[in-house]
Amino acid sequence: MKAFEIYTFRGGNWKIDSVFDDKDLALFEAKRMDSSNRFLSVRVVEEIFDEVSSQTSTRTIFRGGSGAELSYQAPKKAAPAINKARPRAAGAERSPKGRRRKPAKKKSGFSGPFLILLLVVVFGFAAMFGLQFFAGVKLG
Amino acid sequence: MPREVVQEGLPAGSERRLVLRLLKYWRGLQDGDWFPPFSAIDNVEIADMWNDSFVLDLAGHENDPVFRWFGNGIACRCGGSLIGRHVSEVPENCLASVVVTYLDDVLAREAPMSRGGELVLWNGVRILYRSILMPLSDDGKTITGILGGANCREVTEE
Repeated sequence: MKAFEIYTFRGGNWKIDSVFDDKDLALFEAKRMDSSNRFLSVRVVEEIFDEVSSQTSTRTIFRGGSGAELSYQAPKKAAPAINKARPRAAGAERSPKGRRRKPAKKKSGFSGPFLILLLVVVFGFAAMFGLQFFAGVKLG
Repeated sequence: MPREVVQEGLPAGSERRLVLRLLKYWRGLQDGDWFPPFSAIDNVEIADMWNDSFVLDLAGHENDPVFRWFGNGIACRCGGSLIGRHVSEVPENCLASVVVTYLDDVLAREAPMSRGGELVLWNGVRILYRSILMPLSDDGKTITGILGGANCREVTEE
């Protein structure tokens, strides 16, 4: 079973755009998208699923654009490598109910300052108890 | 490769194939990477494709979506309209029966998919068809519907 997946390069990642079972149709649409200059780059990946071995092989059969995705620099962090994650092959089980897209992971800046505050409080209490102890020893 | 039914009345030089024209329309409704909402579909704007289109509602029917729209162009290849009916109620050996077979793939990949092939209808007529399924969403992320389209031509034995 063959599938022809059109990917577009957006926001530093290759993202699946559409899937066809007809090679000529996929190439036609990919070339049309590439010539529209709407995307930094467009490519077509041929995915072959071997039902006997249950293995999937892929190869890129079209790569449009000027290769600009190779020098893409994300605004704040380093440009990630081309996303090598492959969508599940045809016939794969459905994703869980809701079929929500994975939310982007957010890095929390809260844990750092909180640890520092905790250390200050601990040392503060230690200093208080230490002073009380030594004061008691001296007077006694 | 199945040939599409030639669409009469289209401007010269425009794309004839239904699935590509419908896909172009769907892309035009997108806001960035977000899936288009049901409310964005304008049947007047796609009057030339509306009869070959259908809309599936998944909200509350994830396991067995419901047809909210079923164009006459597909209905005549299914023995009648399926508006209000579930996917599980689609008759065998009709145009809709082959189109919904890859619905799970669309939901898994979260991207439009197009498939074509050959089919012998329940009435013995042999057709070559081309179809497409495209995700719709109420919040832009969670797929809650499908905009689909399909057309065909009869294969005559010589």
